[in-house]
Amino acid sequence: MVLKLAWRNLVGGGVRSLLNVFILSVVLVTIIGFHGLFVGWQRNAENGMIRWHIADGQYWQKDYDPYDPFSFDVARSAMPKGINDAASVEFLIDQGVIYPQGRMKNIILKGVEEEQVLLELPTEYLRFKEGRYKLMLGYRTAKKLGLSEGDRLMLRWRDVHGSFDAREFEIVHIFTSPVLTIDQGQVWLGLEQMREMLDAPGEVTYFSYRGLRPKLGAGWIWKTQDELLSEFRALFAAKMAGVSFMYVLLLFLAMIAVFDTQVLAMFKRRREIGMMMALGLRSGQIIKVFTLEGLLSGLLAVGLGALWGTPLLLRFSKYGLRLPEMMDNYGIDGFLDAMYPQYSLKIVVLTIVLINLILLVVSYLPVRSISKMSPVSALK
Amino acid sequence: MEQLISIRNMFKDYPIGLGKFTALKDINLDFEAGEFSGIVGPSGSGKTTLLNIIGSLDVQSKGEVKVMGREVSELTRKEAARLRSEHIGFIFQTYNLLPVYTVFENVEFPLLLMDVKPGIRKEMVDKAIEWVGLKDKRKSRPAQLSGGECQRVAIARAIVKEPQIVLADEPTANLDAENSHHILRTMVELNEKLKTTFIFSTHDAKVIEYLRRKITLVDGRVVEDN
Ligand SMILES: Nc1ncnc2c1ncn2[C@@H]1O[C@H](COP(=O)(O)OP(=O)(O)OP(=O)(O)O)[C@@H](O)[C@H]1O
Ligand SMILES: [Mg+2]
Repeated sequence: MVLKLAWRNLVGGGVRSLLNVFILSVVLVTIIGFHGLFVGWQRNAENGMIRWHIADGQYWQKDYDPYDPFSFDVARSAMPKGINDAASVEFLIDQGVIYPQGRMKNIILKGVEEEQVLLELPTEYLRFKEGRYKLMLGYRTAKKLGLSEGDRLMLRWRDVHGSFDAREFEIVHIFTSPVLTIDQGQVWLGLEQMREMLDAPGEVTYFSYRGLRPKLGAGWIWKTQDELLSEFRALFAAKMAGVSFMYVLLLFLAMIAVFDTQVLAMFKRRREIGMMMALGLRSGQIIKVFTLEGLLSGLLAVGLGALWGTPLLLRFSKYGLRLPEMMDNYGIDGFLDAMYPQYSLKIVVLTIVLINLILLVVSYLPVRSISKMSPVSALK
Repeated sequence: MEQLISIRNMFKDYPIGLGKFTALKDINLDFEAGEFSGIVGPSGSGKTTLLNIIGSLDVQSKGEVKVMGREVSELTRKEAARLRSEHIGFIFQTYNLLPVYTVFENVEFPLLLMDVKPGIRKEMVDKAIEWVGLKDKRKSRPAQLSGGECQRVAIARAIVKEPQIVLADEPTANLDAENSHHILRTMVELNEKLKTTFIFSTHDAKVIEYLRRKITLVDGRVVEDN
């Protein structure tokens, strides 16, 4: 009987109920969609970093501090013995100066093992055996400096003895990577090239590693994936605060709509509730009927949202969302041309439960207070 | 024999600002089962207030009001709701139809509360709707009906469950002569067949014609009862 009345109320509500259900379904799909976007973005970025640079983690020479270029001179040691070469990619870091189109620019020089196959970094372009004075750089830096493949670039550095040296390099490749941290403010050289320039044979600053971790002495510090990603995660969270704000605002607006249709409508329907009481519906039943009505609209919204939201969200996750300018606007790693949202069952379930819980509460509270009134005053 | 309704030294005050307004003063009335009676009196004399108290929608401020042997002011909300649902049919002056329900659903509502079986329910609702001549409006909603039609739905809803007591607050205010007479005859028939007790509130001469007992209320006092 209670269910029948609740259903009747909902259907009888006509356009009002329909609108309410529709708005709710929009809220649901939006929450799930936005969350999927964030998750997809972050996962994409993290996967990119792992595949292009981090592998399972990195061993850092104990003095290496990526934020202190002056430490680079000392932050290098001979590669520890017994490391499986196929499981590691060696890097040697220093600072230098480049002169793109006559301007002077400080830059980080990164030497990377040319023969590696562990990372997606296209190091094969830098093979020392096939010629010297080659470098590559990421497309963002290339664009910023107005450089293209085949251009020549003057590069100046200091060797271990502190004396300056300069050379013209050829840009042999511009790579396209979603990873910002291997692109901005740096150029890539072959490891052997770097060692020769710095007069530092056999030395490395850090090396990425995959597989079972060997025990190394105090000279090397192991950085886990999580540690290496933590900075990105913090940055991502910070950058996303702005976006999240809009998203929260949107949700808030939607919630006001829900609140209006539920709570205010409930008070507007006080007379209706009074009528039912006058006809002999007990207050407990009243509460059940109207709370159930709210819950039913929530369940219908889930159904409706699933109907139009599922194909929409799946489409996005399959074909991606093309928002290249967002990338530059947010200056953050993530995706190249399209963003692929990822949805988790957990968030879908959580959102559905949450929305229905909210509905339950916003339906229950007003109707409970009305049901405490006497029939005559509710009818006024 | 126990009276169906018995009212002793009953007063009803409404708070107004800091003071109060006494709408009913020292009412003493008894109604037997099967009465066909009416309360007449000028506007504001307290007719609706009296019916509300008898119908357990409101409580008196002082005195006794017994309906079917129970003191209404002592009923819990649940008991009062049950009394209304099972034994009392109310025709409100302002109709009080459920706006989101169709005519059929409005009339069906009291039967739903009483858990009447679907088959019987439909039969009873159809019969009540036919009584008030709204067969072709079964699917309309109150907003699509005229005042008189709403009133007839309210009447059908009050009598559909064939209650012991029907409290009818100005039930013919918006009806033409023909409809009024038709409905009054139906009520008389119910009264004779099922011993349904009718208490009207009215100033309609057509209704007064049918009454077997007329209680006159002026300024919240019973001035005449015959
Ligand atoms: N909730 C209330 N608060 C204050 N005064 C009220 C309230 N309800 C009714 N009254 C007053 O009580 C008196 C009786 O009202 P009631 O509605 O019973 O009159 P009535 O005889 O039904 O009038 P009518 O024929 O116009 O329907 C009126 O003077 C009215 O102003
Ligand atoms: Mg009145």
